[in-house]
Amino acid sequence: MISIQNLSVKFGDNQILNNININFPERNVHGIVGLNGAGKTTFFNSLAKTLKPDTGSVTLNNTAFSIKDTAYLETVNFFYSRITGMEYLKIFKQTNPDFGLTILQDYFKLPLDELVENYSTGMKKKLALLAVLKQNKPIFILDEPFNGLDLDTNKIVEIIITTLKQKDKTVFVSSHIIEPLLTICDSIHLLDKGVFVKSFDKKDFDKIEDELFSKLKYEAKINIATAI
Amino acid sequence: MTLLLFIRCKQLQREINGLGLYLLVFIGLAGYIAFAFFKQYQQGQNAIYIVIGITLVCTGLQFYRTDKRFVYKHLNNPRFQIFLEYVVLTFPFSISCIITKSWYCYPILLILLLCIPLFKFQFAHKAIFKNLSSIIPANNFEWISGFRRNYLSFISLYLVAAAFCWVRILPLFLLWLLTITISSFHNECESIQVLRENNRSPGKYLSGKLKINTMYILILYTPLIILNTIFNTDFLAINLLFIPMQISLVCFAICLKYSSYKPNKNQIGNNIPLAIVALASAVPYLLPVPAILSFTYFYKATHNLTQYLND
Repeated sequence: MISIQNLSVKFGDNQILNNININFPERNVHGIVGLNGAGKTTFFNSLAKTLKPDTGSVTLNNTAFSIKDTAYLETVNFFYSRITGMEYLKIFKQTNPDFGLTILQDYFKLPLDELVENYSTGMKKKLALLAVLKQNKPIFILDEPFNGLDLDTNKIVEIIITTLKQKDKTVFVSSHIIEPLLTICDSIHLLDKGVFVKSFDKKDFDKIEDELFSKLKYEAKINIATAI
Repeated sequence: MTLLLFIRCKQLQREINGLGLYLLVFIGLAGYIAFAFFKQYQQGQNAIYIVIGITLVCTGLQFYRTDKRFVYKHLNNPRFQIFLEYVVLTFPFSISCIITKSWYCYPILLILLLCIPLFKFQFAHKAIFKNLSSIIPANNFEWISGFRRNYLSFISLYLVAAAFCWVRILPLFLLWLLTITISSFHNECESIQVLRENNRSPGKYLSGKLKINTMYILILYTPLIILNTIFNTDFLAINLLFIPMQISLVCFAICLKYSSYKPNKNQIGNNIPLAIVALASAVPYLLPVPAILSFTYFYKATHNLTQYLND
């Protein structure tokens, strides 16, 4: 069980995460959804320990969470200038014995001999994902893995996440598009203004859209009709 | 003020805020360079060379600047804004020209600078030396990246130094320039994933970087320094000191980078303290400066990395 207790993060006067208390079962795929600015990326940064929270703790089976436990795919991926895709992958030791670059390349079709800075957004995302998959970690944090990807690769990423779950990994995944999460997640957690306001199990997934957008749809219908 | 200059002012302000005491040294150095240019303008022929040099540097900047698409697409009268940017950028090195007998060079420079914004196309970076990682392990990505960025100056400096290794000072000077180039390899901050790849403690991570860079410097410089010493036996003491000096300069560059490391950041601002320390390393009574600063910054760097590498 991954337990988060009293997690708070503040940037200046902005309270981004507000005393979060939540438990996530292991070996599940957890979807994190929320509107822009809800705190998804800050939550992931706190989980991956790239950001020190103001208060609170994250534990894995009652022991302190370690940076060695997580593989993290960030929303925006940074690559050192003038290195090729293959050189980037070589930086990461292959700790996942099953990682098969040739097979994955059949689907990703990345020009690994080219400089990463000439890649498109989607290609950079795929390369960063490959580096993440090379690692054998119990927890995978994937922030917006579907961003910038074409339809085919979206499906491949869905398959990858499902496979990670089959290999007993715990996956946290966020997305601005709700559809892929409905297929791959065991539970979806709604983050709003830095607090998890609701969690949905698979059987309740049909209620998520209503919960997320009901107020917005109602207001928007009235307001946009007068604005256009 | 144009929008582009306003943006540059804000960027400069941000860099200056992070400089601290180095700002004074920077101002002093800039003043000295401006004065040196003024002296050169007084000699007619040198003034022409300087104007050509400044124009070539600005043309180089124009070809490789990465904001070109943004500027040409979103700013009003982009050519004029870029021209003004180059005028301001070159001002400290060019304005003293108008109070010398070479005053006519300034309008020539302005005309040349006016032409530069006409070059709108951008060089696409191509992957050269594709098998570099078979010589330099991918973990030393700074060297792979830095070599690809600077291969022309890197190879030419080294080859000329090798070709003239029997001469007294020249090879040392060229290798010193090469050290400055190598120090600039450490301007970018790697991502947190790359930083954490080996699960090392801050001290071990940093020591690993220092060791590998020391090894590369030794491999590159030792043969030339041995040859230079054979030809100039009276230079033994200077040559013995030279390699440790270069190593401490590169070590300072690495420690400086990690003392202010933030994932994914480009630390171009570090070039200023680096340039100052590089100059100090060439002045005899300031020789220990890079070594002392390396030690100081090593502790700052390990402290800064603690927040990213320790649980």
